[in-house]
Amino acid sequence: MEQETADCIVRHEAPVRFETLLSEASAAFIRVLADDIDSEIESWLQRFGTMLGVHKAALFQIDRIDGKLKATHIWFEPGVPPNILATFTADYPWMASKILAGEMLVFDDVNDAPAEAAKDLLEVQKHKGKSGVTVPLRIGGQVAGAVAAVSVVKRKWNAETVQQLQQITTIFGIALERQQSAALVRKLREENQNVLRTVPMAEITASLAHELNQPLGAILNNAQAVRRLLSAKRLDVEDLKDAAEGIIRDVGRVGDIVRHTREAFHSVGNPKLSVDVRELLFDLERVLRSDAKSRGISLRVSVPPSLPCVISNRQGLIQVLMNLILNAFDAIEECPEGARQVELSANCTSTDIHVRVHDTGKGIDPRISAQLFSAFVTTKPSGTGMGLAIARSIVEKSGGRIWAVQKMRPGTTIEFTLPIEGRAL
Amino acid sequence: MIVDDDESVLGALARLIRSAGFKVRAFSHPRALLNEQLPTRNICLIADIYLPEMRGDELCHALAVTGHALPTILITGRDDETTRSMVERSEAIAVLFKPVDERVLLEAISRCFNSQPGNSDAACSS
Repeated sequence: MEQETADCIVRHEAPVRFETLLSEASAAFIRVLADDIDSEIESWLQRFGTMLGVHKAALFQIDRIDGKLKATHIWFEPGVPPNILATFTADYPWMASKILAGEMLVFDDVNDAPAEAAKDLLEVQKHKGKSGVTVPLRIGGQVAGAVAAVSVVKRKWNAETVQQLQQITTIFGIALERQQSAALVRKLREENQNVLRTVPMAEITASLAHELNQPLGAILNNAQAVRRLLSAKRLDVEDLKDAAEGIIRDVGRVGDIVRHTREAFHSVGNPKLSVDVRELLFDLERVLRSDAKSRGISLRVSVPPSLPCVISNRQGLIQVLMNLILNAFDAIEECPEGARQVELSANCTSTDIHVRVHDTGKGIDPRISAQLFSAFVTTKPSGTGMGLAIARSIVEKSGGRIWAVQKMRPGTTIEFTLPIEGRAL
Repeated sequence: MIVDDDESVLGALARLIRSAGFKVRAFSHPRALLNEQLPTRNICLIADIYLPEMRGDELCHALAVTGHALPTILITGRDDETTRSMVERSEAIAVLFKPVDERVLLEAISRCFNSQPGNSDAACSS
């Protein structure tokens, strides 16, 4: 009887301990600040690694620049000689290709690896690895890396252990997603520290209107005075000359105001750079995901696996897309839940990238469709009517065009083009 | 009497009103107008709302206190709620927004002269 109880404890001890550790980890990752996620992952790699009885554990992530898997977090059991895991893709090409395809790799004995994995095997053996499990790590549903657990002795991996590693990987994935969103939000915020974001639009327009109305009033009154004087044949040459000079001076003033305004809005530090539109669309989707979710909107990105880069001002493009996406969100506000869809898509021709923002809303009000991209045209009670006008200005400045797609399907589709890098005007 | 601290606007308004046949005196500072010896009849004031030291409606009031209540046209380039609520309380004959068209301006001036008893002929014209 006593023996049976002891047996029971032994059999249940491990799962209970793992579950406890897992829930502790979940709680820890919820509490931790986005900036401290990396060190938190390191410490949990160690705790899980020890618990699973492995000798090495590492987390790899796809480098956003070159698309290669690289080690970002590593743990070695004390006494196990550390090896440098700089670039997973270079050292383990076969395994990397499997992971990127979303496959899990389990080897009780690394010698069981297929012939294609010869290079991988050599590298594993160099570092005394005898068996291991590698689980793809997903962020937002997409493979973004992997978590590997390696043993320096042969080992029979049971289904339970593999499942536990998957659960750990999921927790790491959620934490890394939060880390990326935090970094992205910070980056976007920094990029948007221009006058448009810091000064309310109403203030700008009111002050601009006043600045312009002064010289415009003077120009009008001088011109009208000249017409009257000429009609009455009162040819006071000096007076007429003064009026003409006044007009010229005030037109110069208007020009200065326009130029200064333009400089204020397109401040220096907005150089045209090579921009990866595909990456930008995913970035924006990530930033706006929670906003969309809270409004019952399904936000999707549909782009080919790769797109050429465009030369543009990244901050300007963000502004264009933000305007279009937030317009789309507003447009589907009144749709029944389940029918609120916004899709960001892009494709390319030989010369341009075409980007589309589609929503399933009620479509463009026919009363304004002709002047959709003109300034101050809006149907929103609190709209400025500047969003699409600014978008057009930015797109055209990048050498592209923007238009509303004639109805092929219900809702609204706004499409714009950007010349592919190397083909810009 | 025209008061506007924007020299261009002042010059152009003065020229336009003069071209319509009125005698004009132009001031870029309200203080300068207050120091003037003003005629008692056939006179009106055209003042920008935002002037140095005081607003156009305050200038109008200051003149009234010294016994020179002039029919007044207020002009402004600032079309906002603050300005609109401010001018609603003023006793101006007209409030015009820049750019001001000659037809509107001259019509307002003639209303100013008509408002003065016994001056229906806009006797200010030269």
